[in-house]
Amino acid sequence: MSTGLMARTGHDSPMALLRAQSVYVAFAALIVIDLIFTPGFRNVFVIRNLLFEAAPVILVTLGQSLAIGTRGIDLSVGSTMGLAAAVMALALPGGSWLAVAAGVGAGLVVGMINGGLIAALDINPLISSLALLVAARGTAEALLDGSRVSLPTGGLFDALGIGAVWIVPTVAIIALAIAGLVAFLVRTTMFGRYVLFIGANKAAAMIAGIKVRRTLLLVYAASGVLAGLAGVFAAARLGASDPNYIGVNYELDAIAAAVIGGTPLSGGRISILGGVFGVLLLQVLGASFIMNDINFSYAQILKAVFIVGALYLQRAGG
Amino acid sequence: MSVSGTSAAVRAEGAAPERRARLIALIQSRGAIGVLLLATIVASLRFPFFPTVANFENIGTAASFLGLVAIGQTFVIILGGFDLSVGSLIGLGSVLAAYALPYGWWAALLVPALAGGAVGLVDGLLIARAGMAPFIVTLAALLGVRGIALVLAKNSLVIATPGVFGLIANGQILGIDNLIWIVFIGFAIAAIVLNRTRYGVAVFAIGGNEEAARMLGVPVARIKVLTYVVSGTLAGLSGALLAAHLSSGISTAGQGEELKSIAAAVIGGVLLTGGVGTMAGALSGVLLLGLIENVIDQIGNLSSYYQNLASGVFLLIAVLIQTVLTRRRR
Repeated sequence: MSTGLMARTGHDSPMALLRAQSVYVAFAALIVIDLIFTPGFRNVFVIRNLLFEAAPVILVTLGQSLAIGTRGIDLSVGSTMGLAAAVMALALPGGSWLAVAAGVGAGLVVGMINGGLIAALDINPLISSLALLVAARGTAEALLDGSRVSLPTGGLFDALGIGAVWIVPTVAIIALAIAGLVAFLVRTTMFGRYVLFIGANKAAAMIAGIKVRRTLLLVYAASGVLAGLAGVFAAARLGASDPNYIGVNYELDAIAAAVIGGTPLSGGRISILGGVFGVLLLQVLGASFIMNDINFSYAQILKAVFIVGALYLQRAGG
Repeated sequence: MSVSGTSAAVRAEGAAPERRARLIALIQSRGAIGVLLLATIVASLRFPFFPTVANFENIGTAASFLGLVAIGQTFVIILGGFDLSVGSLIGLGSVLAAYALPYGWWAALLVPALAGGAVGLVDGLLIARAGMAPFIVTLAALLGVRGIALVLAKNSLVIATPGVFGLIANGQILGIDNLIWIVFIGFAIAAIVLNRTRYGVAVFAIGGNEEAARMLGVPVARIKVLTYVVSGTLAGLSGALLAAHLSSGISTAGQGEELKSIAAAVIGGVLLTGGVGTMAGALSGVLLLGLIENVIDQIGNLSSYYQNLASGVFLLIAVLIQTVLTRRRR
């Protein structure tokens, strides 16, 4: 489900085909290995828990993929998750629905600021989102004075934190539905065309009369909203809003997942399905190490190897 | 129409915009130094705790670890790249220093520096020879190196630092902390290398226009690899000094320093597009970030969480000014 500006030529070599599908091959291989070697991997609870953890990462990866598609980047998503969770905790007196809305709204605000700086003022996305990474985390910590706030049990937060249909958590269903929506937007709408066009050649897109600024603003606003929702999910799962913990380093996982999934940093190409599988691959990888009682740090090293490997394959693909 | 008259008229017309362009370039490259001086004066007048020798030494030693990393980062950014691996290398460097210390203080400095250089070499080769994006290569190194550091030491390793190793980080020469000497001498050497050597010229040339540099015969790949090696080495060394300073090797040390070092360089007028920047500017950026943290730390009623907020907002303002100035210059 990879969408590029160029039409597929149809005479890809087998090697190129393997390259394009490498994330799915790697995921399948990892699952097979786990089913054979990892004790307890077949357990329903394990899979459910994996999907719980994956849901927020999928959300931030979607926004990240859009940003990378325009040849940008959004480093602020992890801190935005923390800020959204903090704002949600502050809005709890107004009821859980209002609190969730406030959290997502906080994400929108960060996204709008980021998008405004990038679109209207031409600031390098790396730097504007880096500044927001630092500032949003600081705001989150300042809002809650650095301490953890428990969420009420029952109702909406239980539905998000532990609710599941058999092995599939509600949050995973929501995340996958949104992934489908984003994939639809990228593939079939003018907005998606614009995103890819800007990523492929921003100057040409401007000359062609594409509304570059509005598109960029929308992209980063969307990334902020998705990060806000991801923060709400993560806090609901944790049962608490923890400004020092929620979303830390998620931006790195999101970038890694997007790149492994076949969204190149050079822009102009987005693979939503690949990104989702990139997230699942990284999550299963981490879980495999934990379940085999291997120091989790090794998983981090292997993650690095995966990223370099994926990038190397993409490079060879041209 | 006389030729000389025309050229005089052109010169007169061209003088004003040219002077303005030069002024803007000056603000871009030296503005951070001015802001640093201004901020120091304001803080000194406003906060009685600020203008003391002890406090300046605090700022200097606290900023020295970031400072060493910022030197390498500045080289890399002027080259047109990024090095996100430096924060993790501080952690790895501090752990390796703790392991190597029993073999001698020189080993505790050499091993982290070599390890950092080796990571820089791998990064550089992947970037320069395999043509991969610096951002993602060094991001992978960020994850991988932190993983290695955590494998080597799950918790912090407490080390005894009497003798030379402790003295390097905690002693004084002529009444000034060694760490401050190290970082200032480091910046001075870096400034000379950047501005007075063929290597420095090559770094600017590649950052300004890589294709043109290649056509002029600059060994682009070799310079790139060398620059990432320098950045990695300095980061490893920074970790070793941190271990000496804190008397422990901490595998989680240095988290976020990669972003702070980029921020410091950018605040100091190093353009992310490559080809433009000064070491003095980067040093000013490092000290400005240190000053902000120091002041917020000492204002009793402000929680330290505002450090991040203030640093982020400050970075944004600096970048905004840079962007506006760059546009005016064209």
